[in-house]
Amino acid sequence: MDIFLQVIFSSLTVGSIYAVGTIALSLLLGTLSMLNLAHGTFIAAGGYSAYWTMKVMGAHWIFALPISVVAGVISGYLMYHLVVRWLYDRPDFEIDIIIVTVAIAALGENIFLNVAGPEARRQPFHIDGGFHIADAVLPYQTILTVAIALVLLIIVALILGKTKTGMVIRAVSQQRDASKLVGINVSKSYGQAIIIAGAIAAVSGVLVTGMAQVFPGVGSSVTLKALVIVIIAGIGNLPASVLMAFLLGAFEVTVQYIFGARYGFPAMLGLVIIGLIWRPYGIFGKETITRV
Amino acid sequence: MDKNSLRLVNVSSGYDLQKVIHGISLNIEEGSVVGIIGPNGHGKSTLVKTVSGLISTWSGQVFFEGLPIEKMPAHERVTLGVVHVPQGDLIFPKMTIEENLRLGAVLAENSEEVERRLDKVFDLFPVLLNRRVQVARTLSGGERRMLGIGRGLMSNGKLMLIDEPSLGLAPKLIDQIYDSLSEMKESGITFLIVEENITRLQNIADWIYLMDNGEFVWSGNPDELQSNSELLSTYLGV
Repeated sequence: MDIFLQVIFSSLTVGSIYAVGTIALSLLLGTLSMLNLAHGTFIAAGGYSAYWTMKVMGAHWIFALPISVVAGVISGYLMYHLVVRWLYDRPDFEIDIIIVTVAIAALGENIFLNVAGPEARRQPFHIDGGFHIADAVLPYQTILTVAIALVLLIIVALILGKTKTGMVIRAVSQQRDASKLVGINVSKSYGQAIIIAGAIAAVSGVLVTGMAQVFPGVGSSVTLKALVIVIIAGIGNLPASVLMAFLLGAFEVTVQYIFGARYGFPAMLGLVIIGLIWRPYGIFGKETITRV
Repeated sequence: MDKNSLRLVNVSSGYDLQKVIHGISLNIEEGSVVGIIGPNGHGKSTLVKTVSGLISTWSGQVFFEGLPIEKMPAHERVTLGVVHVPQGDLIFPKMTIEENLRLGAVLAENSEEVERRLDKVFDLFPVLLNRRVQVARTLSGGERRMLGIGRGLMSNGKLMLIDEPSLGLAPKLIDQIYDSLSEMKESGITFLIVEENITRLQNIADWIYLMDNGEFVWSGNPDELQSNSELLSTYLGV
């Protein structure tokens, strides 16, 4: 019983890390068909900004998330102005942006390496302890991460569904030329979406590093797992991505408990491959037909 | 004050390396309806896209109400009042009819004004009112056309560029759409309408340009064209 409970709690922990790490990537992929492989740079920016706020500046933990939002907004703003605005209207944007964001990810990692050094540092935005149920422990940090993942999901849903900015981003994602013809500044909409994604990714970065540590390459593995989750869930389906994050987290943890820690991630990838053979458009995705 | 709503001076444009429009000049007075007719694939839609800014002007000048707009991005031309209803409509497929229409007025600041425009569009096209919560991708060709024109009206443009409003539609629907365009003409909107043949434009257009291979080969009033059997048979196969 205790082991069963502990597996559930560990699954929640791993799933919540995957879920927060996935939201911003899924948002950009779903709305702008933009595969942002520099997602990890936003994550690291969030992680380091919280570390800097609390450890270096000695500020109260309450400032960590707002400062990370500022760091994410600045990262998104720079990415839009320095890169995306020059590429978004090109016919091969979806391919070009993959190549460019790989370069940005490498550049970002090196900047963090040179500025902050190679050491892995403990993220001070961390709540120790947890609820003890029988002999199992549900860490407070897990509860916080799950709660913030859900809050981020609700914020994204409200922005996209209830605000004019969100309506415009959805319009641009569906028909770019039609958007221009109703007077929408498509370039600006890209900027807004990237800045929103940057802020969300940076908050995710604080939570992800709160479960582990802050180091220059912390965003790379998060990006890889987020990418796997987004694809298997069905590209563009944000709630499905979050659900899939928890399901895959649970699968990985269960395998780890039964067969050993090293088999968890490979087994999860195996499951993903089988899933994609069964449904190439994702478990919750819809088959689309493109007319040529 | 320039009485011309739209003036093109020696305009050329095209796609990639393919020049489609060859030095076209044209004047459209405010409040008038001008038609461009000609065979399929001879540059009519390309010309309209050049005016709206969907494709860039290679050379020449485009003036709207005396202001040069050829270097202006498409969305800024909309703010001036240049509204393009494209062929194939380019609707937002995953949004409802009402959301599509409201996006037409996305630049409007006053919400009462948006509601007023919405009522006006629903008056013109009652079928859209009945299906306001229906997702646009499920609409028939005729309904999509109405939605495209309705969305154009929501932008409250001064110049409406309508690309083949009758394309692929049943005669009854075409009548309905042209009746609506006639009503809109009465309100003082300037129109540039592209069609493949003269029939539908005859009762609404003040002036007709005949286009062939990216150039105007004739212009005059609709009656003159109807009585010129040689032109009709050479260029329109009538």
